[in-house]
Amino acid sequence: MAADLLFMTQTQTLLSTAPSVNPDFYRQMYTIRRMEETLLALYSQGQLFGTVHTCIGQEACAVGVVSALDRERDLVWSNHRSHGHFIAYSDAVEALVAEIMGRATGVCGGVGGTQHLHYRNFYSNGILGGTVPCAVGTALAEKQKGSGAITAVFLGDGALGEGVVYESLNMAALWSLPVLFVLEDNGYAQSTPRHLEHAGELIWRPGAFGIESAALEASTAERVFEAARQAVSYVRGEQRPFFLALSTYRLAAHSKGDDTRPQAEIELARQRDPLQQMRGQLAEQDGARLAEIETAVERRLEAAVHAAQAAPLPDPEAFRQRVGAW
Amino acid sequence: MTHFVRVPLVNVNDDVMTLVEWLKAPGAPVRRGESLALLESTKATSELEAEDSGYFAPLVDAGLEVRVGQVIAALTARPDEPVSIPVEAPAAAPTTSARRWTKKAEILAKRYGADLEALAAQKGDTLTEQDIEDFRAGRFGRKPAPAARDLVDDVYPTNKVQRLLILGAGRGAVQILDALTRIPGQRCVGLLDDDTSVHGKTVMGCPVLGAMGEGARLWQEHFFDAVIISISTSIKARVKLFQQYTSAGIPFANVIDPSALVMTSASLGTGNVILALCHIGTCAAIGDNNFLSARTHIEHHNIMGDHCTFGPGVFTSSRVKIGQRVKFGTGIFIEPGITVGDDSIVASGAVLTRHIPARTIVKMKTAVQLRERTDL
Amino acid sequence: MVTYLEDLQRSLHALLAEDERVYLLGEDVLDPYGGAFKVVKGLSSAYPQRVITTPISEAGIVGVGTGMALRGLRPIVEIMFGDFITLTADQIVNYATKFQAMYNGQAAVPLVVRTPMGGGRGYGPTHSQSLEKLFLGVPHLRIAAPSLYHAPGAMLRHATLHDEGVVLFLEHKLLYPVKLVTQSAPPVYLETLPGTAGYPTLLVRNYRQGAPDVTVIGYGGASLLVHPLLASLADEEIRLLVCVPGCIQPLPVADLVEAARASRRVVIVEEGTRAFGWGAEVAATLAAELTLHAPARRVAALDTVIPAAKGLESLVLPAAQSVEDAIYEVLA
Repeated sequence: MAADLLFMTQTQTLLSTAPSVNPDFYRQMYTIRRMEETLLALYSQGQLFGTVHTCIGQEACAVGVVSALDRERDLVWSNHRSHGHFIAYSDAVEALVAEIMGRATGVCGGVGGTQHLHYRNFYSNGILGGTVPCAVGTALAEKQKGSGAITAVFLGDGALGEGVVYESLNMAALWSLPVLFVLEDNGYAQSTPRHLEHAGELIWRPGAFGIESAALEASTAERVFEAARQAVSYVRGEQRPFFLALSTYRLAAHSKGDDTRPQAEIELARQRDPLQQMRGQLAEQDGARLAEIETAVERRLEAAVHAAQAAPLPDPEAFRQRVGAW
Repeated sequence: MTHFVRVPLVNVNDDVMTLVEWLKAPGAPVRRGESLALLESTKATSELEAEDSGYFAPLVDAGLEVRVGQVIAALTARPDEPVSIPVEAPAAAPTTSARRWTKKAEILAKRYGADLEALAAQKGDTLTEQDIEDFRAGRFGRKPAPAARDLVDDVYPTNKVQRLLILGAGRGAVQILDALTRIPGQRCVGLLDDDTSVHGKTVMGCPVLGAMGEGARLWQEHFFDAVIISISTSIKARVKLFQQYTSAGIPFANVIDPSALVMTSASLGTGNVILALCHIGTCAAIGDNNFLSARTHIEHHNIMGDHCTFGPGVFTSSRVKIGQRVKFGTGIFIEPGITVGDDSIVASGAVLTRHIPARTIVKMKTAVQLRERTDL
Repeated sequence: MVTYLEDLQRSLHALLAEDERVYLLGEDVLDPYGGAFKVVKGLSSAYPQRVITTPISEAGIVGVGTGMALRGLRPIVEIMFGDFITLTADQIVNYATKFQAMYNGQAAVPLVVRTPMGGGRGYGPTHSQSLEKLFLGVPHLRIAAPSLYHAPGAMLRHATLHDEGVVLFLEHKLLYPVKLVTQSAPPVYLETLPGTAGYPTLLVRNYRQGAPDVTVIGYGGASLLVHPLLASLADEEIRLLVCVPGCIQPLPVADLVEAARASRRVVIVEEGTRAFGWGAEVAATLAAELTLHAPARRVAALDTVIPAAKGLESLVLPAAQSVEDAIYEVLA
């Protein structure tokens, strides 16, 4: 088993190589990207109530990791920046758009909104760090039930400031639980750069609890998928936790209109945008397929937005009645 | 010097522990520091160590619950030395000075304005809630109710049918007894009359118990709840009896035939007899101890004093004022706003169209012609 | 006659024996220690797979319990002292109690968090509090508090197996060694109202007939405070109707209103600090439903720390004398 693993407990950044692009991965990433951009546009037009936290630039993390999971039984815990994880898990584009537009046809009937989603085995919440012990709990439950399911929990680098994350790492290791911790390190906690947030190296932390880890740059979904596949296999086979640290970059603002990062830095990152890398390669591989994918996604999104705009608003009376029942 | 072994405080949660077992046999020599017993608390089981040396004499059986501080064994200087358990100095004995009143009595007395000191002195024993309620109802100091005689009235005191004592056993009493047959909440338990020849007899089944003066005794014995005067002919007798009974603290009741109409906002004092088909108009105010024969019609906004008597069919109009002790015959009409002064007598058939001063006799002058019938 | 502690112990044994979904998590729960207050003694030996001793991570273990509940298990999380419940606040407020509602009814969290509250043992400011008041008002959170008169084991069983939501289950340290009073014996007369299903409301009277003079409303450990007053005030002819709800949030409004209506003189007793406490909510709720002869009186702890020294501790915590004084005030 150990020989199969590429992992070490020290930081290791793998070089960007260029394997062939998986068209379905591209489709998922493109769907996420276009959806996020559509939402930002709708926000500018005043059609959204509340804010959104887009994952533009980080799509490869979501697509690569979630594609390595068993979507039938594995669990995913996401955070405020949930859209990529959600679409990769469920492909429920229409339901998500409706939810963010506050419609009764949304994932949670408009009650949860962008940060608070639940769909089959997918859960998200908007308070940083608190999802992690819940993920440990679901992993424990599934292990006790003997279902073979594992729990993946997504964390941003900022979340590693919360104490409860360390409580969770401790328990996951102590009790040998099938949790895949996925760190999406985009170098910023909201507006604050990493060096002002964290002492030491983030990748040292899981090792302190005896948790195996690996680090890589999330340059393409395929690369992430390869690492995640091995991590998932370890977690499921050994019934032990694993910490996968992905370096990535958020191309858009933290939420909306609150980006104070240096322009040059953003520009550099944009040039290395995984989506563009994959697009370029797929264009060479199969240009017709690329066009087909993009057209279908555009159409789908347009239809989703129209459907959401036409969908009914949540019924206040029905909500009022459910309040007591809850 | 005998050393007494007490139950130690092992943890703050437990005042009581279980003495699981003794670890030494009675009479065995024990050195200081050796374990004597196993004690179990809610937290843990611990060993009780001897704080002195001596011969072991257990004083409590194993398996029992013991209190922290309790003496459970002794270590004697010599084997088989007799042990007498030290008597703890008694905690301050609770004073058994009888309370002068319960807290409830104190609270109620304050609420009703009763003088606690005075009542307590009068009673000579602890004042209770019941005493204060009795005071409020004017019953304080009555002899205690006798042991239950009546299987309903003396056992279920609330909501009971009001027991009436009727003063006078004549025709007035018969009219009252007749009305009572239609009044579910009141019943007659006896009559009093100064005519000794009717003593021991009954009127419509109700016993004549004695002379008028017997009322006070019967009241003390809780024989009745309220009294009503049935004499309709003598206002003087009514007044005298009313004053006598009132000053003895005996309550009166109204007897109102159900067919009488008492309108909204009409008010009545007490001790009034109101017979069949009377009418008391809205906002009329009637005092105490009046006797209204059948079909007495008192119109709205009338004011009537006390101790008046009415024959059947007296009609007042609105805003009539009738004073004290006024006697009315039968078939009388009074115009609106008229005043009839105290102690007046209005003869039958009068139609009053102007004010009547006090102490006045009113008699209509009508010609009555009598002729023999010649057509038969 | 069983003690509060024994009743809980028996119930936990039965729960673990009967239902495989029941789990127990807490600090120091393994035998032979069996928990700081021994409530879980014997359980880890009998059910080693499902009694889990945890690191000192209150927030973490409530989160773990939440995750387990989401996936169909019936976890009971023990927080060693009620004072430590502040550490669990984010998980209870923003996670456990929100999932069902914000996910539009598509998830459920049948989680029980049990903890002992209360002072009177000289444990000092951070080990003697009644901090449930910090969670009063959190929506979708049931708070249960068995008293001297309740069967705590039955209530725990209901909370674990039949309540589909989050239950904060409050025990009281001083009640653990006390024999439950579940039968009437003069001058104490008990009546059980169904209350909120599974969490009965107990009515305790010190008289047989007539109407009460004062209604005393309290929960949990307050029952220990009020209990001796039943006999002593019966002796003073003061008729008390003590209303002890088993579920203190949401309030069993109908039970409280009917009890208050019987006398229209109300004293509310709680061990938490006075300002913005449970008593304030009960008083406001009653005021909306009926008129009292006098404003309701609240007996509670002083708004400060609970000192360790005995004389000071009894100054700060509510005493039976304060309850008695409040009863006289409301009767004046």
